[in-house]
Amino acid sequence: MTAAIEAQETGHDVFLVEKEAYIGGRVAGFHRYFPKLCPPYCGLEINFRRIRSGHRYLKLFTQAEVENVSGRAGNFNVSIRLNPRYVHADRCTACGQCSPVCPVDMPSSFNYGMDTTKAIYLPHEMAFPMKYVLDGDACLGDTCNKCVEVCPTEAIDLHMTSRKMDLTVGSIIVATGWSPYDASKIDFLGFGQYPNVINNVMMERLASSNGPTKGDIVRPSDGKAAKRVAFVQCAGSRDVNHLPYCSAICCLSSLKEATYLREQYPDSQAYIFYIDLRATGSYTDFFRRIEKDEGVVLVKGKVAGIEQVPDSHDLIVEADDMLGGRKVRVPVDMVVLATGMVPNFAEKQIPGLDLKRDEYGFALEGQPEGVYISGVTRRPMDVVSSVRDGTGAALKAAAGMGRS
Amino acid sequence: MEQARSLPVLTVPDTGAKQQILKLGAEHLNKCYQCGTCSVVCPLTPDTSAFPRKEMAWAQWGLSDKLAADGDAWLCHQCNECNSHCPRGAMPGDLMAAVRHFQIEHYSFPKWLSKATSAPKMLPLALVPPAILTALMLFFAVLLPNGGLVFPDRAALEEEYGKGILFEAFIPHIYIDGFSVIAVGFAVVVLAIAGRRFWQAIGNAQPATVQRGFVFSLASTLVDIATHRFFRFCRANKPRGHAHMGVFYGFLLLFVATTLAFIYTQFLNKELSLTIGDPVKVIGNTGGALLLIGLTWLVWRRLARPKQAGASSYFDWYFVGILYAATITGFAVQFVRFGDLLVTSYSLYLVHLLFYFMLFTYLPFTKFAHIVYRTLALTRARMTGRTPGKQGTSLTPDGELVTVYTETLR
Repeated sequence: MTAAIEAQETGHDVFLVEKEAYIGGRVAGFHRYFPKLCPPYCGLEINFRRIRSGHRYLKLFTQAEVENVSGRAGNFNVSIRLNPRYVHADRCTACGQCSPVCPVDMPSSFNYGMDTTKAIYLPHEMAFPMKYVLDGDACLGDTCNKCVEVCPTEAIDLHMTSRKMDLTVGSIIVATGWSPYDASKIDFLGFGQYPNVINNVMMERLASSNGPTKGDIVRPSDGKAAKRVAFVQCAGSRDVNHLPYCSAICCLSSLKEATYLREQYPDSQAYIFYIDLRATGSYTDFFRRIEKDEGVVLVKGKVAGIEQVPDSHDLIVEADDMLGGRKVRVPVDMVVLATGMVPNFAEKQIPGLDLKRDEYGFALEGQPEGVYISGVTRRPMDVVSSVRDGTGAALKAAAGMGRS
Repeated sequence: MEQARSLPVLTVPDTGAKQQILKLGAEHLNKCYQCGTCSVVCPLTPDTSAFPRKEMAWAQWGLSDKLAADGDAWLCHQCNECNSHCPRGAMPGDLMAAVRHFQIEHYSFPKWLSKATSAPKMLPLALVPPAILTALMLFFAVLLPNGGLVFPDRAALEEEYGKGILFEAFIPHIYIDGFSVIAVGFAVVVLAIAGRRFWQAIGNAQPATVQRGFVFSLASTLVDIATHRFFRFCRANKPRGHAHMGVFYGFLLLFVATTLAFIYTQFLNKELSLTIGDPVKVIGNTGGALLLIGLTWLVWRRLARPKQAGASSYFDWYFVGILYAATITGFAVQFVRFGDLLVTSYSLYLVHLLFYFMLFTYLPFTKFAHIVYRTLALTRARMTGRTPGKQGTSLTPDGELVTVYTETLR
């Protein structure tokens, strides 16, 4: 998004191709940023406004996927497929009358399945564009038709089909983002097995006021307040059996998430189990600030065992506390796994755009001329770095356009 | 001039000792970044000063004194749960095996004998002492009295004993027993002294309060060994416990058979080369079969399941190999005797005796020595309450005592 806006503001026409029904990516789902602990909507709102008031052409395609890329720098042809929204964006006023009548409940992907949405839904409260979207697979179709009948602007069209479109562009910026590592692949951490073992992006949703619990940090199993929470660092990271690399942000995100807990419950206890806490540069100050909180206990030792207490959903995390010189088993209400970042498209390629990648799936420097990399597609990084990287990519793309 | 600020020296790394450990099979040691995953997934470590993480740290620093006095090395039963979960592929299980090897080398003497079993190229040298014993025995029992290599006369034996082949007519018992006393006696003395040094070292290193007496601890340890209790905690390398049990009881039955045979000859005045149905023969053959099955299983696992079985060093192969050779030749002697092959029988008998001497001469220097080291370490652990597995209570980092359910054996 940043790359698109910056490119636009340098005086170029831009197509922004987004797979989801909204822009903002993972950031849109966060409760707060570190180190200032402000909500991400500040920054997102500013960017949305920059899109609206841009003096050059910026065309946003949501629910769009690249089918093929051909040509060369200065004259690429990008074929995209626009998946049906089943809602005419120009007519939808986001009045919200459609959702309540929908009989279908399905797991919310935005909230990582921690609650449900209707088959026709607003992606989230602050979605941009602020338009409803209908899930074609979950929808019952013509036999139901309730939302179609209730829509005052006749915006819903259950027979919408996907469309194809060819774009001719001078340069391409790849900013395909990341996904959290699938922690169910780690056999001893109980993710996907015990309901109260969640990951860090799920914790962001739990703490968000527009999340599944309206911001209450409670256990997924029974809705009980989660006051004793263990944060498990390097859950699958720096591990030859899983992600061999360090994602660079998980230490800070756990420190940050510990503050959510501490603010909400004064009698709460956050345990952060780590190998090394990596808070580099000015983030050291952030770390020092949180370290002072007596409700945040830092334990040097990786959690390598999580068990659920029989006949309850309480958990016991087990680690070798190196500084204490003994193994500890700490009973907690909930566990947050600090899972690492896996670049999207790590294992497959965007058709026609064979990016050079490193052994972990991150794109390397020196792509074909006219193709630029931005954000976590390049390497794991925090939001601030990703935004700066987007600006850099836009600058490079603009310079490249000047040459061709 | 202001003096350079000096920091207190807590530990001086010993790179020489570290190189030594690396060579004993802990080649991936340097990859360790001290996360403690190994100690958590280990089903056998006590909660305090958990292994194998601390051994990894000691070994990285080359702290050979610490490693030499580490009784915990023997609480490890090579489940290799740590190897399969280590996020760095640092193979802590391989290090624990290397520490045990290091200790056996450290406490045994003379050093050159322990070198003889350390590398394949030393095998010819390793063969020398048992070969000398066998040759001397042959010289005194056969060559000297008969003036040459003379095999007992079949007809005369059949007339006197009703047996065509009788080993004690070839080499009388007195020579076997005598030379066994030399080989086993030497081994026992060396192992006793080494064991005593080891016992003192682990006692000094862990000056924990003794909660149980020596006799009680030794007795319960022997029960644990007999039932292979600790092997049952293992998951990744579980079959190893069953295989080891075969070897253990096979060996024990052969020991019983040998003792009974000794009683036959010394007290009942009965000649050996027994029939297949004789009770002593049945006990011996059952033991031999168990030993053979167990050993074959162990070897097969080392070859076919290296990830579960862990790294196999020459030190491992040497002991397994000699034991295997002694077992196979033992069976072979019996078969050719029943097959009535006279010259082959007596020749193979000599080969069997060679491996028998090889096995026992090196008792204090090979993995065989674990029978003493492990028993002592487990006894000490019993005395000080360093019992493996999960305990009933646990401390949280903020000092709160919590009750944790006890894990049941799988």
